[in-house]
Amino acid sequence: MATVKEQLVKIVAEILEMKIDKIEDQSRFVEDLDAESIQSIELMAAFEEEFDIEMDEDEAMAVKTVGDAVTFITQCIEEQR
Amino acid sequence: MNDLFNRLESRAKQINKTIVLPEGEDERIVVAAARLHASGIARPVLLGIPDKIYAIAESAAVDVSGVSIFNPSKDERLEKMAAHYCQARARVKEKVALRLVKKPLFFGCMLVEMGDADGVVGGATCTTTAVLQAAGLVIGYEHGVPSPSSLMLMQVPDFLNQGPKCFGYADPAVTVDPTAEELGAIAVQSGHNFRRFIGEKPRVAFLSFSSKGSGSHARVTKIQAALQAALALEPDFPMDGEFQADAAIVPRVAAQKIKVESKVAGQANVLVFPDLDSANIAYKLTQYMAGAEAIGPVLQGFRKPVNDLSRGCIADDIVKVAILTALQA
Repeated sequence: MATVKEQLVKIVAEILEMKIDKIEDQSRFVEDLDAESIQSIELMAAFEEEFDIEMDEDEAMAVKTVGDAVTFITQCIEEQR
Repeated sequence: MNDLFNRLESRAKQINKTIVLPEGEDERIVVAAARLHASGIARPVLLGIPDKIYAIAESAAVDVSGVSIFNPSKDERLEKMAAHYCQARARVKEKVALRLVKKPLFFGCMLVEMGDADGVVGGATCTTTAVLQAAGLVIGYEHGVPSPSSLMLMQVPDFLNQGPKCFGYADPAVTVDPTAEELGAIAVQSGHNFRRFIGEKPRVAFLSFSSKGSGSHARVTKIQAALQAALALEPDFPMDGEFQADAAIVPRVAAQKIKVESKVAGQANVLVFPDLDSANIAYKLTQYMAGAEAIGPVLQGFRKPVNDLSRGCIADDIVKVAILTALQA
């Protein structure tokens, strides 16, 4: 079974149209992965769909890196189990 | 409200536009919707769970019986909206789009995008970023506009001892450090909106510490490039610069400092500042030192009007922003 990180990286690669091996824990969505700042809400909705969770919008928007997103989503999954 | 606002309100009543208020479960929004409906300023649409909204209205002692209420999580148009969203944003899957359009701000913008409403007023309970995201993704930007911006209307009570005068200040709220191209688009948008609100021909001045090359610096060159970018968009009103603020608005100073023909120098009514710092500082100084009424900021650059509220707003503020939104539609 794929880990949260593997699933998340796959979604980011799809939406931002980039290769999986370019996405690292410390990658920042806007500065390093060239996400338009308005796209962050689409990434958030895609994560919610993939992991079947609801995320607090303000808290989710404060997440800046791939590694932090994995931590935040793992926490949401545990809380909403 | 002052005379200018009374005039804007009268015009809004004449056109009676449909304005979506996505944060329908907030008491201030419910009270504002009741006022908009009762006064005939606009046809408000509240988003939220109807029973919750009716309970809020009852506790606030306002009547929303004639106000349209839609529940974004159960609306029958959701699938159609999601499909429409995916057409514009091809990399987004339909299930993800469905999640997005169930969000009240997205649903509200989608009502406007699909022609079921004329404008959106949001931001009483969410960030400006959230409002800009929903508007940018669902409605998108006008042709030639790279990013959204804002315009503040400043009603000066007595300008040069000649009575009240209204100016437009841009951009005091959105773009921190615009490029020349962005500043050019801000100028054109600001001119169009000034004419919509005030009904006067805009005369747009690009402000600087230099007047027509009196100073030499990269910042002056940037303002000159912004003017050229704006002129390339071919607006049907005069734009000129770069001007110091006094050369832009005081005829006597313009006559001394500007030695070339200009339809703007000394008679500008729309002032385009170099960046967010200068625009924001200038509007607050004008407000408090000259006793001017600040109306706005209104957002601009989107294909259809979407405006942002302060999270500390009261019902009166929401009514005012709804009036401005209706006049942009």
